[in-house]
Amino acid sequence: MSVPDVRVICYSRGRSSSIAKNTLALFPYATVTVDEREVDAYSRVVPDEQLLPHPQFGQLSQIENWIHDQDLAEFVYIVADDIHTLRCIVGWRERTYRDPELIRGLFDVTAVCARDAGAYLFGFGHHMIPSYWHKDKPFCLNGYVREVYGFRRGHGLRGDQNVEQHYDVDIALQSLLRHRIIWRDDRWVFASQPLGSAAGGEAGIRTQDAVDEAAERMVAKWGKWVTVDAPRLVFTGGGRTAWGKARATVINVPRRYA
Amino acid sequence: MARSRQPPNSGSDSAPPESARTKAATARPAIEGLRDRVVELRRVPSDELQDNASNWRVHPYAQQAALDELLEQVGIAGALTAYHSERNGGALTLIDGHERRGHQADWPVIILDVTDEEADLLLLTLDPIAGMAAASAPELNALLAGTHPGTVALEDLLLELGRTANEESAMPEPGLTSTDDPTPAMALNHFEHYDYVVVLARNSHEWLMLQDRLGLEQVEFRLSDGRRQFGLGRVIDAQRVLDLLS
Repeated sequence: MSVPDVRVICYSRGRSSSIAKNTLALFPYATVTVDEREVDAYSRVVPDEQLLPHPQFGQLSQIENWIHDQDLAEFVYIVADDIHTLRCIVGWRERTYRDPELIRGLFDVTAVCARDAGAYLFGFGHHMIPSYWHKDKPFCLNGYVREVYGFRRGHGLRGDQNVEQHYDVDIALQSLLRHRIIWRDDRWVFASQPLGSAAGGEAGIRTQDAVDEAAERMVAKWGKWVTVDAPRLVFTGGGRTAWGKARATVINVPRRYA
Repeated sequence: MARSRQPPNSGSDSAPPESARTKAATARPAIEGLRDRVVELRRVPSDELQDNASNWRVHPYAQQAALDELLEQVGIAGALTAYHSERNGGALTLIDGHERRGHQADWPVIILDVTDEEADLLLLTLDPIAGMAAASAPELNALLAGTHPGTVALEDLLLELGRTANEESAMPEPGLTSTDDPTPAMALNHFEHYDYVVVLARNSHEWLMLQDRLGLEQVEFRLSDGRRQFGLGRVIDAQRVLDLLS
């Protein structure tokens, strides 16, 4: 009997002060990869053996490609650095979990299911509200995965450096083109901080123009297979702004499934 | 108080359009002897209303936050529903509006003259019947396109609403899209289809036997018994099962 060869990687930027209470609380076994210039800051909260410096890159796709090149395990999960809860939305009431062992077990099961289904990209659902969950569709084969997702060795996918802000959608489309399906278990959802609300990460980089341009580039690249509704900056009172959520970034790739 | 309604398709030989049939609420026959059980609409302070002990709805954080934001933006825009419950010593007892009652206010309350049994039926069915309504994607998308509450929980709610309705109706989403097809290989191949059968193992013995008979590689999932809070699952390709069965 074999234990699935699973490795969890978190790439982080500017969140050394919060990663311990968020992502590392849920995935204490995760390897944290940071720009070599930030190693000192992160070494205060991440054990040395779990800290993996990466060269200086300008884009997330470059970091992720670098992770792929390390060939760390058969299944490599990539987790965002602001994840704080796992939610199960099956049933009348959502259940929340922060038990690292339970999450590791879920990672094992999901990775093995994805492999057996022939998928190379896998992950979990997006819908946070139980009443919106499709009880007849516990799994999705033609969507995209974000925040917490995994790759199976041999996937052959490369992050596109021209795609800066819809990286998760782009990589899913690549996988759908190459492998026909992805594996997404919609019964489980990982919750992160709202877009742009947590310091660090992409919060200081995102502008409305950049967001709009990214949407146009995605549609130019993928044509009818994707619909992108870029998030808008909204006023929240007191002169403050926040990112509203985009209504829909939808993959239109047909894969009929039960 | 039976309101007269025209029967469907009256005065016309042609079938109504799809949108008219799906929105048929204005064209249904009157119900004979429809009773009006509303005896009063009155303002009642929150603390004079009793929660219904049989209330089965729970209110997750996302719902509470969305309601709070809606109340802040719009204010009181609907009535609670209550009745004098014999089971509750005649106290004015809620049927609908438990979450709103949590906010201190003089709430407009529709007071019914229903029995405890009728109240139970209403309690069980009011929300689920409302939830059975389907969405018409074009109208919903048009409404969503012009509505920007600008607060986190309401934006989340509208996001989910639009996403779910559009997934269900397979209508085009609002947003930037194109008719170009730069990657034709993305389209479905002939006979490409993905279906599955769920086989439920009701105990560990069945689960182990099933894996053995199906020739699934034994995998040790790292979950101690105390943490097995979810069922395990495996996937097997149909062709492999068909080979085993043949």
